[in-house]
Amino acid sequence: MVVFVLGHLFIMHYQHVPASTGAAFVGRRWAGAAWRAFDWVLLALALSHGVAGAHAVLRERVRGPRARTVLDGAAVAGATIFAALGTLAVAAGSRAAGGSPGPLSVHAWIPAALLGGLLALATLTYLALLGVAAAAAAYVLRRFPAGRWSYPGQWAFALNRIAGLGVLGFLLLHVADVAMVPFAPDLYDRTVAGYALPYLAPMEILLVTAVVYHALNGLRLMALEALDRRAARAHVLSFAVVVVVTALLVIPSVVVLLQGRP
Amino acid sequence: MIFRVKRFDPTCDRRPSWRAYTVDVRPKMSVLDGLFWILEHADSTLSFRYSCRAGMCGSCAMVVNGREALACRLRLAHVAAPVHVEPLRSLPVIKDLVVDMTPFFEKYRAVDPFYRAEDPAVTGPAAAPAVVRPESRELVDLQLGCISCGACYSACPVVALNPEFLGPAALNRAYVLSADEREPAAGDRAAAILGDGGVHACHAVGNCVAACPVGINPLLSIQLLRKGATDR
Ligand code: HEM
Repeated sequence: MVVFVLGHLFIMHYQHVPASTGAAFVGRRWAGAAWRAFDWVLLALALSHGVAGAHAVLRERVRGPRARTVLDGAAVAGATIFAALGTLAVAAGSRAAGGSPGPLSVHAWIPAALLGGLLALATLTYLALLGVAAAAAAYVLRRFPAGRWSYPGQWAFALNRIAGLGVLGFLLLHVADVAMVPFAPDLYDRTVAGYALPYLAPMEILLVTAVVYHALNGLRLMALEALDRRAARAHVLSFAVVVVVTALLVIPSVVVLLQGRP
Repeated sequence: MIFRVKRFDPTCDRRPSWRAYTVDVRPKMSVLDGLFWILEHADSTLSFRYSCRAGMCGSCAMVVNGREALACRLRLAHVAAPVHVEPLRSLPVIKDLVVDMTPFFEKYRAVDPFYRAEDPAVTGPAAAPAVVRPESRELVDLQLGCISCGACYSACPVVALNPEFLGPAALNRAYVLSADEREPAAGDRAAAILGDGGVHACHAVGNCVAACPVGINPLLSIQLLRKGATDR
């Protein structure tokens, strides 16, 4: 999964800028069976792991047996719908010709809804970041203790969870937009062009950061568990290493993003 | 030195509030000594729990400047002013710094925390004395010194998020017993370890390791249980 996720990330955010990956780009790539297989395996791995993770997070809070049945059902249904949508797109993919209308092209509301949703999500994210910064500043100014945030592990855990949920959210949106490639290539191009809005650039950087951090931190947790006694006190140091490596890996993608913008 | 203490009396306060005191600090004073100073000189209504004053009983665990600590062992020379003192987290406050430990001990009980090997009702009549390999004790002995103060329970965000999670102390106890060669494999204990609130609910945050005032590593116990320390 690490290979697939980071491989995908590298191609889309380091070799290219996402805004340049129109239907023609996807169509060219999907002309070969290997890339279609790659994308499908990536989808299967990320979707199953992400939905299972989100399900486990919600299960911690959802307690009643009836509510849990509903939650289980929603997780299975959600995963099935998006898996079907993605599989359909990958299977039908190679017929796409960039820019031309397809059978679903009359539904212009689809890209509008996707972009609108993304803009709303971006606004919420920026407001949340401002809120967190303001709360932190107030705490520091009034010299209140940082609570559990005074433990480094708390940060590792919270960032891992937020990153995992955020990346899953993006994955669902992304399955929906790529599903337009075979059925409405022109609308897909319009959506992808919308991703180039300067207002969304920070979201793109956050997304790359989230994927890189979550993957590295996941590897860190697995390594610590595998090493158990031999790494019993290495949690804080290894977290620091993950943060530094994440920052180093994200910087080139920011450069690519800024240079590649029209 | 300024102390800010989180005060709360559920019988009359709507929510907790910070109250500040200027404590006359002398060399080698601990946080607990500071609280005694407040009790004697500033506010006789302040409630806190303590017993041995030597870091052995675990009664005076509380949160000092955001981190769990035994108030009797923490020297004021090692903490930054203002000193913020709060009750343990994830446990109901009885008054001020005194929490109700019932949920903690209920979860402790859930792992069947008792040493069963010498109970004939469990093991049958004793045949020969047990043979214990010293190397099997290496880690168990290190993890055995838990004083049940609740610091790890308070520091753990998974305990705060997931009401079912048994917490680091209970699972550490489960490991100590499971890894004891003399213990009979106990069905109830294994079920609790592997159940919804057991070792698989842990997210390896590691706050418990940093918070433990006696240097135990509960996360290591949990990881070893996950790897099948209960299989025998
Ligand atoms: C690139 C390789 C990846 C690795 C190595 C990885 C690893 C992990 C690990 C070890 C956990 C458990 C963390 C814990 O117990 O606290 C986890 C949780 C999670 N992952 Fe991933 N992951 C990867 C990719 C992804 C992707 C692409 C998504 C989104 C689609 C995702 C979404 C989640 C979610 C939602 C959780 C639950 C978070 C939580 O329980 O706090 N992960 N991941």
